[in-house]
Amino acid sequence: MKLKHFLHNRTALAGLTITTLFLLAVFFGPMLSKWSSNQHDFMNALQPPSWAHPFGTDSLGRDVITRVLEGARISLLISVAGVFAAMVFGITAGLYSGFHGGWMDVIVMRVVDLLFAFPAFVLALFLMVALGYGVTNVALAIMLVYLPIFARITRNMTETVRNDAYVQAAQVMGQGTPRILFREILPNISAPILVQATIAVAFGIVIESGLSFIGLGVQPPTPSLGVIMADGQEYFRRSPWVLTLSGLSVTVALLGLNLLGDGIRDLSDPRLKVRE
Amino acid sequence: MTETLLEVNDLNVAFRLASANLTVSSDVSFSVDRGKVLGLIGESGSGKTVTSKAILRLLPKNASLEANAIRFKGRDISTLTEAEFNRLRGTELAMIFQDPVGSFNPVKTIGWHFRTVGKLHRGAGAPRGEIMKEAKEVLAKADIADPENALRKYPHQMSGGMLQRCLIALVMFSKPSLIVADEPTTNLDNLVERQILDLFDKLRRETDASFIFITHDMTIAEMISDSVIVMYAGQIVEQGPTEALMRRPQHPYTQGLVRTARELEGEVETLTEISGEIGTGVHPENRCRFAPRCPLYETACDHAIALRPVEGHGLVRCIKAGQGAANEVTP
Repeated sequence: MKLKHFLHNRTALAGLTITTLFLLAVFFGPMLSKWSSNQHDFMNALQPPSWAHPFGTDSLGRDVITRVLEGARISLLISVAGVFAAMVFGITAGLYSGFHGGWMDVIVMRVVDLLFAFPAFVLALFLMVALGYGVTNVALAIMLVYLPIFARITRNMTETVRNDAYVQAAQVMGQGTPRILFREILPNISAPILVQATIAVAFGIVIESGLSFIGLGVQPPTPSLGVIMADGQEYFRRSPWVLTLSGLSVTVALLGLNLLGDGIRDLSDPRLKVRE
Repeated sequence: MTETLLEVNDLNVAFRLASANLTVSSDVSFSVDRGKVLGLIGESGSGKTVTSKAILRLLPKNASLEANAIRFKGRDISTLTEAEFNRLRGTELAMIFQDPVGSFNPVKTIGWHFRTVGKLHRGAGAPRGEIMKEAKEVLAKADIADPENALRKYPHQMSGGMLQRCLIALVMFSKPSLIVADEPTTNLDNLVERQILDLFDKLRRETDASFIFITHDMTIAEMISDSVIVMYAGQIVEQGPTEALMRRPQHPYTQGLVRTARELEGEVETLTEISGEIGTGVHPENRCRFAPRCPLYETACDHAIALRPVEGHGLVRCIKAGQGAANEVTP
């Protein structure tokens, strides 16, 4: 997939632009702000947008934009950590399971089916109750929600390529199984996994926000999008800006990552590549 | 004095299917001498590929393999563990597949393949420059005009003929003693086929590697091999030195194959065919497997026929073999 193709695909380009802007904003935005995310100012609580506070202040007088950017970064990092862990374990399980087949495949896939049987958020909720609150456990919950998805995609893709001639050729040349799995097969099936990863990160943010919103995830005063939304909804009628901005940033992140994923999918499909 | 490199004794391969056990290769025995080329001939479904893959342990999981012994350089390799066997692959035993395009990993360059193989056999610490230099040499030997450029290319950027050369070079790169070539020219057009066969001919003279050359084309076998095995329905029906076998084939099946090959060389209106099909793979024990298609069939053929030596030839699985000039094939 060349950069040229990427820039010619409008979906991919839009996704990349939004995602990049989002990343720049959450990583560098708070540095530019003269406020810090936990700086209380009770005299100026629930102020509407002004020059000093472009998106107003919350119930404790904290600058909303600074807090939202800071919170979005924490939400994003939690989601990325969870999805990354899910990829490491899911892909490994999927590769071995798809390559060897047999009883190991049956066991791995039945465990995956079991995890799939629960709706993602219900599973995450259950895990939080079982594991307890906290940042690490939110990431762990996200991992367990996405692990079966990565395992299943990888397994099915592996099964389709495992009898290809180059895999046999690699065997004949004396390459060991791990090498064949990670160096021969994985690069060939990486496109759908990559697409799934971008979308998983987006929905990982939603899971994080959801868990924190109902108080099971990140604990205040640490900002995360869910925590800020929970704060904001209490005063929504009086000062809607708190909830609106935090909600919008979840939307923007989702939009950017989804478009990016769609774009990668389009580009990796050879049937669609003709349009150049 | 020729030295025996590979010796296969009573190889049996069967596939476990839901309905039955399907025997695809029964009591196959043969040997390959160092530096020689053995041609393995048969039509689709005759068991030639399965037999060679069995030697390299590349059969699918539902296949069961039994052999008295598969001796390689005097050592029985049929009892080796998977890890021990894996060390033989590539270094000693290698295989060239039918489909050169599919044999390369589509997302990696040709150079990557050489580096991978190089590191595998020379250790991970082998200097990259040295591997690449050797790769260029071996590519040049395989008649690749611009090795430097070829190493940078991806498989889809090259033609089938070029890729087959690269694949042959890649296999020669690890200097194996036995190379199994499974119809390496089937997917190529005639002109390229000729060039690849010439390349094989050159390599066999320049190295002391042995080849098992699988083909369904008698003329190719005649051109390239020292001895020939003809397989039919999982059995060896005839084996012997190429020249004798081509001039005076003893088994009716071989005679049919040779006759057709000769007719193809000349100009004839219609080709003589061997009527019938090879069958399903379930064969009655007490009958010659070729009997349903055999022009010489008689009731005496209705029992298991053994492979037996015929004077001046190799081994033949036919009761009528060696019965005078009746077997001569005239072009």
